[in-house]
Amino acid sequence: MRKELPIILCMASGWIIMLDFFVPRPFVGAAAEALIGWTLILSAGSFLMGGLSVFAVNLSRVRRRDPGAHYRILLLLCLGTMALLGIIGGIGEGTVYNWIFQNVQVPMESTMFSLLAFFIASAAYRAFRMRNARATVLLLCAAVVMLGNVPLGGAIWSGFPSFSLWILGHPSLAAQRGLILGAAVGATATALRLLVGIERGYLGLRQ
Amino acid sequence: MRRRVALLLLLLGWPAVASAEEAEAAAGWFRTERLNVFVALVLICGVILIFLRRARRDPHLKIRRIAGLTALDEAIGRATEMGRPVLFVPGVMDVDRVETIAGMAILGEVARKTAAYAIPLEVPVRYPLAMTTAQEVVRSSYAAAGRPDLFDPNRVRFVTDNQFAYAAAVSGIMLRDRPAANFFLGEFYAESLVMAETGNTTGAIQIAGTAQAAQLPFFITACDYTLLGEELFAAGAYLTRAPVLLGSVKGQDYAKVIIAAAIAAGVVLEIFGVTGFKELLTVR
Repeated sequence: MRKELPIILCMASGWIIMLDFFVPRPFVGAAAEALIGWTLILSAGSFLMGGLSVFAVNLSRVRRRDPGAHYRILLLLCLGTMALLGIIGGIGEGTVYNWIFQNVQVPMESTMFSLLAFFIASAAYRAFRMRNARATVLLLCAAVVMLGNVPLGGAIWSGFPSFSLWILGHPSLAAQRGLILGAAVGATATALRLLVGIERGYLGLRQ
Repeated sequence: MRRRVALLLLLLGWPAVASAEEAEAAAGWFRTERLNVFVALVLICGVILIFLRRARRDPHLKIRRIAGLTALDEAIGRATEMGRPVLFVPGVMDVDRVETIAGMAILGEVARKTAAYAIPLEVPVRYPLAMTTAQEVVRSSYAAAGRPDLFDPNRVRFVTDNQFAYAAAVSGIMLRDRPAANFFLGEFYAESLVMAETGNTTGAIQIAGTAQAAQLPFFITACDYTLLGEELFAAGAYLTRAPVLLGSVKGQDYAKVIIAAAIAAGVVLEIFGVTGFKELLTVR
């Protein structure tokens, strides 16, 4: 029953949500809304479990004196401090918690996001090397798109912006739509397998 | 008794005396504006179900070779030879997303192999519910491989729900623990390149897969093998070789044929000035 119950719950929830898409009856809508509400409650409650997991995992590694334990101590201190600040002083505008969030957390996130530019540059260098005919076509297309998106490209040849738009709007978009269609059908098939209860991989079970 | 009363009412023509309000209420049992979605769903699901039935009769269905999944053994074998851990990232979304579910199915197979070879499997996750699901998947797989003693719940752990903090944490694991094989299978967004490129610098063999078209170029560039869109959803069937799952993969291929035929019909009709077809396919 330990394995069957999650499958039955998953199937029932899926059918109710799908029924709500097609059947405009209040009791179906209410059932679907209740399920969505439970999902939100579960998700919110699970963060307590997540916090405890972070605490337990890092504390056990500090106790074991694993390499890099000083980073884990710092993490636990920050976790505890932020939790205390949030519980005691609140998290609204003008609180210490909010100040730390805006001045420490947000800049660090921005820094990580900015690193993406450097990663794109190194990945592009590898991708655009002229190793074979296909890589050369890729390089040429990339060069045209880049030149079409900067004023210098338009100054060199006025056709670059429109050629760049054509590459993005026709061959590139066609390939992307093919991928999206295939993925959508794949997702439908996976959803169907869940609805009829034959997809059990997410429970670690084999067929 | 109730059945008899209902039958009597029916014979007496009870529906004919139903009030206008009741008729209106009866008409409200189906969103007619979504009939097109319903028909498409019945058609696609019908094809898939036909192949599911066929797979039960003939379990030897053939699907094409997927390089990324064939390389799975190679990646885990390399980790075993080097004595280093395997890293599995099941996407950055929660378990309510179908790509995460597909990623979890592959995680089960990866965990079976790492359990068999007795090498550590690191699974950092972004949501606590995904963590409990992943823990259950890995626990079951270790038990199925006959090595429940090797399962360490601390290796399948929640890191943070913040997108870039999560990317930083995964990058940190790659740089500190130096896993020999990295798997990125699930739903990914802007952090995909940060993780894949960091993994590339560590020299790990990398297998990625997502249905997010915008992230695929990043994975193709930075990883050794990439599962493109639908291949991610077919991976569970490919790895387990379960006939019913293979049947659904076969069915989804035929569903694509139907979609391609609809696209071709739409193009031809539009060329000849018949414009109503695309209205039929609009979701309301």
